Amino acid sequence: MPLGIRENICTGFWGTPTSSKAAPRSSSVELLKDSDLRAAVEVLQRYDLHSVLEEWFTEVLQTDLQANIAPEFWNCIGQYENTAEEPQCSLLLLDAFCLLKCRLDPYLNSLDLLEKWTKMGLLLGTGSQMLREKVYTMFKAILFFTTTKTFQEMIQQFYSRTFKIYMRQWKKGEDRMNTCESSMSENEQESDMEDGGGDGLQCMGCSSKKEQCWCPTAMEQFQQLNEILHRLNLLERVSANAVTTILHKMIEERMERRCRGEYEHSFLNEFQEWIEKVIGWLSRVFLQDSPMAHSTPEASSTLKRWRCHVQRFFYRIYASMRIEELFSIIRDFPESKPAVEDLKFCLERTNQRQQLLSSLKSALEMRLLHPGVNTSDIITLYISAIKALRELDPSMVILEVACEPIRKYLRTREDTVRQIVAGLTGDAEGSGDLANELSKADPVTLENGQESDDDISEPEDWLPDPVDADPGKLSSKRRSSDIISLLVSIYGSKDLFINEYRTLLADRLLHQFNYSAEREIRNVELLKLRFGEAQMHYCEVMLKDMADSRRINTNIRDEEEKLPEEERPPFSLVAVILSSEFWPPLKEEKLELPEQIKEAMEAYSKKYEKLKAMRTLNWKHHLGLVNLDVELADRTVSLSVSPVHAAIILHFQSKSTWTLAELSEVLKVPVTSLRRKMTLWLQQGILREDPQGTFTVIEEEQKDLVEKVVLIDSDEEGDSAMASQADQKEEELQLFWTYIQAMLTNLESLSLERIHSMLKMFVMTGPVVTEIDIQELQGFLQKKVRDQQLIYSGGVYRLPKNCS
Amino acid sequence: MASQNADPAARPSAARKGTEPGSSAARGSMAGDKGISAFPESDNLFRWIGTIDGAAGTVYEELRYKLSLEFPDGYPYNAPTVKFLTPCYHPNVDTQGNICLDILKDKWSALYDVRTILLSIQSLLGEPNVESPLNTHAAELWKNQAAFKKYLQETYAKQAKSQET
Amino acid sequence: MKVKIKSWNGVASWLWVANDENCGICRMAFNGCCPDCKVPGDDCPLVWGQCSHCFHMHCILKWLNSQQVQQHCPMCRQEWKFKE
Repeated sequence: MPLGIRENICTGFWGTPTSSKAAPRSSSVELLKDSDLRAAVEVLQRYDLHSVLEEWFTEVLQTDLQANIAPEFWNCIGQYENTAEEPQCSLLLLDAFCLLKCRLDPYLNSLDLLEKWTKMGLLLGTGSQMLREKVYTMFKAILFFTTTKTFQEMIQQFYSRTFKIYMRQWKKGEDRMNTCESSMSENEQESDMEDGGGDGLQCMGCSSKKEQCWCPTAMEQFQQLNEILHRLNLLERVSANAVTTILHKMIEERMERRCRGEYEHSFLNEFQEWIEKVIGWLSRVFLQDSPMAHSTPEASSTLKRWRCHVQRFFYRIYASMRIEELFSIIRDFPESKPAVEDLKFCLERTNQRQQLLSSLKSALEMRLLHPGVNTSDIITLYISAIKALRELDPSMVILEVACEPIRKYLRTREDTVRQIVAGLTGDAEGSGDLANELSKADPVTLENGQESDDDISEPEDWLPDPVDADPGKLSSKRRSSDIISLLVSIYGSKDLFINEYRTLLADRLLHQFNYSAEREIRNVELLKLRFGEAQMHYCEVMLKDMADSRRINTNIRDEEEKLPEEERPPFSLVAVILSSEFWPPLKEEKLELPEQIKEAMEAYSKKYEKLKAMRTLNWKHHLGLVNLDVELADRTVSLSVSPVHAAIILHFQSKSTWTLAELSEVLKVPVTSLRRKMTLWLQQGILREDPQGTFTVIEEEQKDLVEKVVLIDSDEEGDSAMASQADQKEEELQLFWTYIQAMLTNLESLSLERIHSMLKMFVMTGPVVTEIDIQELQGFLQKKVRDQQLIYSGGVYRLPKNCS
Repeated sequence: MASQNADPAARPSAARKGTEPGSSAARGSMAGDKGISAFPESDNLFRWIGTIDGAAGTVYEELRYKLSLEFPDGYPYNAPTVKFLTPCYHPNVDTQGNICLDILKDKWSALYDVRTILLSIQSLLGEPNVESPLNTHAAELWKNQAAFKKYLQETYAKQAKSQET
Repeated sequence: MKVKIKSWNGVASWLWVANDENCGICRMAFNGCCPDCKVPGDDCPLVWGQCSHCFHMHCILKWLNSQQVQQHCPMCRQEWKFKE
């Protein structure tokens, strides 16, 4: 009896399992009425056998899947391996799935029936939901446990094509274009980039000749396949990978095409729109639009998940691209501001700050921080980086961390301070940036500008650092984004800059007598706003000296003019009179000037002494500028030369031939440097050297010009008049040691920080200051420990006992 | 430092006045002022700690004394307050460490700095003024140099020991 | 050959004609200025006593003002009189 029922139900459900595909399978279902089946189930129930029904169902399904349906399906797919034409491929793919659906449909129908019975209480049921899931799992497990490469390619190709067609149609819809017409001529920019051109005879969607366009067919197949997969609950299993791959590829391609190297506008909105289109396609894939599954909760949540995924993916790879390009973006700032803002937006949504830091650091090392790059270019890029990165990350952590290598590297360049100072005062070529920054009406971060090391931060301003902040840096240390403060703090403090500025200013004032007083005063005023009055005090006195000197010169000249003609000095002597305590130390060079000049200077000093009681002048013979005419037999040469040059040529008046040794004797200038000074007169064709070491005036220019050999290192006219910073530093380091000894003698033991702050307080305060940063100091102290001049234990330094 | 930045005008006088005795003390020891040294106690430029070693050939030889120097606002026009921190058995030093020395009182001159003050105190150690003592016991004992030295070293050792524990 | 100097722009530094480099009172260089001044020279002059010791004018005035009993030179303790 049960056996008969089983047969009955079996045929009633799904006909003969082995029946051929061509047979109209529904015919057998019609043979049995629903009521007959129910009667059979009731019989089973009576014999308490209804519990086997579900088990038996899955067993039959599994057998059928394994023995018949799966081989048949894969055979179908395999048959088409050789099919080259895309439209055929799609068709065959669809056919294979149609067949699969036909085979599985009866089982799904039966499943519905079983569920109905379970609900009616005819079956004990393990729970209808579980049974359904079990069936779906079997589909996936048995049919698609492994898939062939061919199959994956087919799926991939199918979705790529329909994606392309869909995007095409969407655009055409946008353009209000006729579906059949090419949109090549329209919306050119977009389509050009989108499609990479084309001969106009091809359909942009399906890449076939227009007359053979199969776009509508493809879309229909697309719809059908999605419906089948949905019906069989195989969408995720079969399509998810392909869809993901396509989306990623499409986003990447589009980004490469449209965004790479293009920093001047934002792409976020554009991509957002495009992503919405893509979501439209996805909703087709996941049947959001179809009447079959209109807005089921699962469908909409699936779609939500996909939208989220696509967006996240976009942010991530867009951020990656911009990170990779960040060096160029920084270089192009502020034109590249939109790219920076885009990156900022993306970074807030992804976890790529670490990637950014390491990428930017290595780009900087590769492209910037090597000997081939000028210091001024490094500074220019650093300034751009400051501007760009403070946009990107207002916490300034990226700026601080990523640019540390630049700062470290700049510290190793000797001309860094000079370049920055030159930039600040507008002396550097082509870089008005810093000068502009300096003259900003409102120095934004004045208080930051004042602080390089010791900070006072307001508790209410405190914000936690981002996690990637350098834990080595005190978090209380306020990060500055002010360009000038940042540049100035490369060396730890502003004092070095002030000193350098002072040296440059001194050079300008003493070397170029045509300096612009107005500009210098303005610069000093601006720097005062930045660095404080006290710091710039010395420069102010220097400028005041210049003005005072002019007044004294006028005064003395007026006096002279009252004298009778014959008592007037033979030439006009004007002086720059320095307040020596306020100027950087001047290089001392010996130079004995000719008698007539010394007399003039003495006379000037006398007049000065009359003007300023109890004061006198100390002439720096080697400094200054002399305007003179050299009158020769056949020509007159007018020149502006240094005092030593003038002194040399003046001696040739009394005697037309001098040896180097003789000149060295009267001028008290060493032979080596004198030889260099002779170059100018040789170059001017006024002296000739013959034989070597003997110089003679060329009274008449020979017809066949003696080769005007442009000699060795030409004059060091550009040399600074100031003593070198390195010499000064050596001296000051020794002074530090004296102070440290005094500290430790009296205060017993001190920590590194304490010693540093004490030195800062008591030693680094004078007009000429050597800075020592804490690392440098530590090195210095450790050396003293090695030399047994110090003892270090328990975190403090002390003097050895016997060292008193 | 911060306040100096806030008020640069106040800086030169405060900083220089305070720094100068410091640098002179430091430079002094470098130049061979044997046995004296000083440094500001903290970031207060007006409070210093000084160290004096007893001069060779005196009973104070080998003994080291710490002193505090407190400079008034009016320095250098007014004298600083100088006291021994290390107990010092001496005719002109009382048990509180107060010192009776004319240059710190009516003979003060604006020219004195940390270095010259410490040098004066160093020489006071070897040449006390027993006529106007603060410590009469010491003034009395001074006449007997050997006994003075013995007593001095005993008290110094006791004090050193108590400081170590 | 003849050299005609049209103008000679020289450089010199000024200094006080004093027998010391620093003011004994403030320790600053005579050629600098006293701690209360910013600009040296005319604005912060030196003065001499009849004892021939000299100081920044501002420094010695402060010293003299701080002396209640008798005004004397901080250097030699002689009575302070300005040199005419």
